[in-house]
Amino acid sequence: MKEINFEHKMAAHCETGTVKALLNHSGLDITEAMVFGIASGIFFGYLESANFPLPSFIVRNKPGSIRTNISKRLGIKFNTQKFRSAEAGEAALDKLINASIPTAAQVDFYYMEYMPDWQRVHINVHFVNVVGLNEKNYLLSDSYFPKKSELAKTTFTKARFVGGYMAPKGFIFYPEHIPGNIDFVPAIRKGIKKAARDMTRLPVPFIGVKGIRKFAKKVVTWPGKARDIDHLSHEIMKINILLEDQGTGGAGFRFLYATFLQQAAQLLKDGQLEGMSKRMMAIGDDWRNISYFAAKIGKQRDLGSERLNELSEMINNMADQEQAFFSELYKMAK
Amino acid sequence: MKPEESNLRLSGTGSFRETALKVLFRLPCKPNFEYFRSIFFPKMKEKEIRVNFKPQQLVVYVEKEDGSYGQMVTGSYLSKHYLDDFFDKIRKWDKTLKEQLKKGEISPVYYYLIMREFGEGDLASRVGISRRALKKHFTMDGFKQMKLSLVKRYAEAFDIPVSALFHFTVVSEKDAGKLSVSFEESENPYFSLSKIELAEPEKKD
Repeated sequence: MKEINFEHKMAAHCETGTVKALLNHSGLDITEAMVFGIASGIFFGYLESANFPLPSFIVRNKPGSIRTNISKRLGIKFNTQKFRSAEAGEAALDKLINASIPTAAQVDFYYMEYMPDWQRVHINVHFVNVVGLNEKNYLLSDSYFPKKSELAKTTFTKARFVGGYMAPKGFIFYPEHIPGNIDFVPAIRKGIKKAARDMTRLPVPFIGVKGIRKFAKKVVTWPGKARDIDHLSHEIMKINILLEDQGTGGAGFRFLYATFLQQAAQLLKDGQLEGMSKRMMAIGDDWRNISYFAAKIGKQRDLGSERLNELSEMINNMADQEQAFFSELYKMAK
Repeated sequence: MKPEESNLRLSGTGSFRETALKVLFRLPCKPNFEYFRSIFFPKMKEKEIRVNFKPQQLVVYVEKEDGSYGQMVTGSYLSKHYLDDFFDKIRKWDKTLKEQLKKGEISPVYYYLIMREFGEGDLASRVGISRRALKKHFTMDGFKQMKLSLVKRYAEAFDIPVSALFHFTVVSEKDAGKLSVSFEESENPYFSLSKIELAEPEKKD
């Protein structure tokens, strides 16, 4: 096995974890929270699409934009490649690994066979670092798994070239150039401003705080969309998965964002921002209460209109809190 | 990045007097309920949320003893407490859908769509057909009109051999856990082998 000397660390989220690990490997000392915050990762969107079995929501910005925003704001150049054929994609990846360049790849999470079965779902926007190979296997550093893992090359290539919603098309990337003496201060300000703007000012009815309100309004209609009570229970319990277990660092990335604000406050020597990080942590606590509540009523099949209205009210309360929070944050970043 | 040491750090821990002083001197522009509550009742403490569940580890961000926020590796709360319910549902769906399959009420395409939790749009895109065409294949009438090459594309999307769209291998209840069934691909994409073997005993930690 050809193995690149690469430090494996778990991270809350796959894309931030992958980008952070590659930057650390290239000599830039940066935390996952800082990557997330500078890239304006915090977000909310309520999605009604045929690509999901039932309406769903996202709590982070568009997949891929962590890397593009970091690149734009810190001046880091990433080499990125997409491929039409699996053979060409596999050959290019092998060449990079043989040249000792750890490389991130976009894959369908379902094929990451080292993960527990119950976690493996079809999501085409999972990111892992490839850090070694031999004739049969790749060695992967996946932020969601405690240690580096081997995966059959045939399986990994399949995961890179599946079709479907947001198909990976063999996408790979690695940092090519990192400027010396990066000034983090303007990058942090831009990151905060964009995130606060996305949450409060975009004129789209399902994005940001408007998206949270839409979620609150629509969740009570889910019984009409579910196949049966078990399906409804499953989808309601998925609220917990999407907020806590699907690589968010807890509370739909709110704890990760609070950590970013705290680190930013210390760097900027800004006491007001420190206060905002505490508020964000408290907001995260309330999102977490929603997670627990959803899991509880889901398991008990206590899914009558009274309970769903209660859930809707809790979500609406989050919209109020985040409206106040991000409006204030936007003014601070202006 | 290692944040610079700063004397402006606010800590979520400490005595009431310390906390009160922090509140007095670090008011945000518009003090509100959440701000005060967050200072007096910080909840996301490291020791309070640790979950002991080895099979599924994840990273969460928490407040450390010194008031700083950072990451902690812990077990999944949901999986530890609710995984049994998840498996119950899966078993129930599997049983119900297989009954419907046997009666010809649904097609194998519909069975795998539900069991693999695909969205219709996502699956149609993976197979390379329209959503309307996909829906036709949910019934046996639509399924039996498919070309074998299209069946193969479905099998690829579901990550199963073509033959698995035409039959299930079932282990009797008395042998459950004793035997394992797996598929072995061959060079011929339309032909695979079912391997029935004695299951390895579960390892105990």
